[in-house]
Amino acid sequence: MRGHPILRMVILICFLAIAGIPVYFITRNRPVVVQSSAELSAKKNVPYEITMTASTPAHLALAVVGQIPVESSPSAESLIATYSMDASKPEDLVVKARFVSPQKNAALRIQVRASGKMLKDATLWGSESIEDVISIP
Amino acid sequence: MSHIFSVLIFIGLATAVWAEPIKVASLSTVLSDIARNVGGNRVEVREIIKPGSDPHLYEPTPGDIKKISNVQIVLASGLGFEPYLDKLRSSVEKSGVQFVVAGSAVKPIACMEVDHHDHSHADNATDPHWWHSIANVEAVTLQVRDAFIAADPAGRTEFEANAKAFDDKLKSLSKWVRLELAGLPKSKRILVTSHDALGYFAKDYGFEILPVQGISTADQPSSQKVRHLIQEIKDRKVKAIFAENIENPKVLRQITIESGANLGGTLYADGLGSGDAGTYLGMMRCNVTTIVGALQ
Repeated sequence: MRGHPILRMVILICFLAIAGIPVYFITRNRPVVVQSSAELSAKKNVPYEITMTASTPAHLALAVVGQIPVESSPSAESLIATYSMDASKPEDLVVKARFVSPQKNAALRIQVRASGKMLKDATLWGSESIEDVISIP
Repeated sequence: MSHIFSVLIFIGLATAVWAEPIKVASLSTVLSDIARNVGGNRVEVREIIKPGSDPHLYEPTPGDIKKISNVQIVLASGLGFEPYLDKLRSSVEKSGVQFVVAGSAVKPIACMEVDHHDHSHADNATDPHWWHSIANVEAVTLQVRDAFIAADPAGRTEFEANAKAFDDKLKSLSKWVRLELAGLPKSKRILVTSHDALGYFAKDYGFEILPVQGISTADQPSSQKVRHLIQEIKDRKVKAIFAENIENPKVLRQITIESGANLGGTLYADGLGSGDAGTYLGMMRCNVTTIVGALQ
């Protein structure tokens, strides 16, 4: 065991290097897999079925931010649309109705269902047209 | 006979037209606007707090107390917004002034942080910025109307009609705000402001508030708090932060540079401003337009 000091030093360095490899792999910073907000929200997304019913035929329109708006063309008494939204923070619905024959008390009923549950059932009143925002609880 | 009736009607009308208006002192720019809308020509509003001034720094001067002693009604926000209110009340109570305190007509909400700025609401921890909820302004409009009717019963019809007209405008404003904000995704509804004066607004429209504590007052935020806030702005990809009555733009600049967020504009948090923001309706429109424009 009385080898040359340089040889002993080389052996020691090799030993430390070999011992350090598993330590390095265990303690190194691994890149954290970060899910994008889109992926996260996609997991929580649920389909919301929205039904708009007008008391008389009307041009109906429904819009949700970030999604394709839908409308009845040219006019109808009801409109059904399904939007997939984050269940923890569903977006507001912008509903519009322009009645073909304006009358004093024209009504627009909006029902929102998700997973078979009625989440919102609101009726808006107007004469020629109605435009409002419906918030989903 | 008909001449006598005509003369009596003329005298009656003339008395109504030239009747002494109710003298009102207002300790809030928002309340001044409500009083003018409800009172019309039957009310003379003396603004103790002027638009654009900082109500936190206000202390009544002897001249102000004299002015207030000569009015019939004082309009105050309450909820701790005027720390001097009790003292003022006892100073002028001999003159028979009636205090109408808006805080008693609204649904108060709790402050986010108890000692976050220089309002004296630390004791009851209530947010005194009630006017950022339109529903509260509707309630205060009715409260002011009733106070004016009590002071001037002959003006009932006029006060009721004026209050109804103003309430209709508030309802239109409420709808406009909801339509504007519908275009802003819920994930982007984060308000980084110099202090959390917009709690009522946040509650009504689903915003989250991240206040920069101390930036609008002499109390500076700690460097640790600023670092934490910058990290949160980055993590949550907040696009813009908003200023109001900034006393230390250096810290705000530091936050925008380090977080990558833009300066979204100025919000009217503590009362009315000038120009378009010189009325309550205009101020709300300015704030909403600034918020939507910056965060969208």
